[in-house]
Amino acid sequence: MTCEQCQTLYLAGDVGPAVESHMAGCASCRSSRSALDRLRNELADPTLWELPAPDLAERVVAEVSAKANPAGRPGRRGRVAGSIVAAVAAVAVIAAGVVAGRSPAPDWEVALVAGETARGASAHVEGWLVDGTTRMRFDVSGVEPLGPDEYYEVWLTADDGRHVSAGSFTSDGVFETSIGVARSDYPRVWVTREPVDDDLGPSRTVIFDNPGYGR
Amino acid sequence: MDGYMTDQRLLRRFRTGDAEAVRQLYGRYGRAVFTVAYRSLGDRGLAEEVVQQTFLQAWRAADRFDPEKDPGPWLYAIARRAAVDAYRRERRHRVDRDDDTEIVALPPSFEGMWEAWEVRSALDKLTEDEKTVIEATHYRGLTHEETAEQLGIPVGTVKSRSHRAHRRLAELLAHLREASA
Repeated sequence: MTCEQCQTLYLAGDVGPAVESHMAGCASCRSSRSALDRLRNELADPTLWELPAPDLAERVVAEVSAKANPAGRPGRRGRVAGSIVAAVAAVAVIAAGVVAGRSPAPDWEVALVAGETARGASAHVEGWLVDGTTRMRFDVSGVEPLGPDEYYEVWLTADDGRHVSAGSFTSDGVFETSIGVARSDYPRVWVTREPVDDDLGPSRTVIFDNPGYGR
Repeated sequence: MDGYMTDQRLLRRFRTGDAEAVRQLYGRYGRAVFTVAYRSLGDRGLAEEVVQQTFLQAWRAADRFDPEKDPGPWLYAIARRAAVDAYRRERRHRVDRDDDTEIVALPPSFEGMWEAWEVRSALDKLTEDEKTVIEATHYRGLTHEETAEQLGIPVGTVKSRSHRAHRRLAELLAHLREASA
């Protein structure tokens, strides 16, 4: 057995007599043992496997692009082949439970209609238009808490079908989000349930929809 | 769509705020930045803010970074600094206004971050299949048989993937063993 084989098996936790025998006779592998144990502990740490929200990449892109090119548009979402996600100057952030301070009366508010898969759930949205940015506060209750492989995504949709993602959440709560479009241009506010995958467009699983839209 | 860029080309384009370069840099390092932030702060929302801050600060500092160098340690340093700042900012919000202590001691969660960064970065160089097997083994504590059953693939396939994945991880992380030997 080579040192490489021994250390690979040890890292995998496959410590049989052959590995023990090699370790006993190999000072180099013995000296690596504590480091390999630390790596094994690291690999078992739950925080290592916790992943950021799927839309964080586009939020980072939008933020850097907006700062780099403040008078223009941020980069297009060129990877969304075939989708109808709008390439707009959008910066969406949802901060769970971090609704700061008292806000003035909203410019608009709407009680979204729960879809077939979210019977009994409710979502109330209040919105403000501030310097071309739509700020929304969602109060969501009764939705199924989601694990790491799914999330709920908020969409704004224009009458011509263009969508823009306004953020995501995974459970009940009060959330705030901001996005660089006006609701007058994107009147439909709705929420879908999304798997964690590379498809950045909305899924067909509608959790909440704007009254007057949907099926 | 732009193709894969070398780190040097990527960093040159990142300096201009090019969206595809930002996306690719995030694709290579975003999860590692998130790992450092989340483990330090224990809060997803704060951790995601730190990720955004890290890439924004990296863009602001990119003119001063030599694109011939490995961007990993540079981004790690920015991420850790952003996490420390976020921790202290949150801590200050919570303490009484009369407590004007400027220096806030960092909790143990900030220790050993470099190894966490390196391990997460190494994982992100594996294929999805390899990562799945590593996660099943170490995080979920499954046997090869249980993993095979859950994935609906033969046990032999799980074993070969596991061996390949651990060999690659051992290679990618060899410098950590050498440093401590």
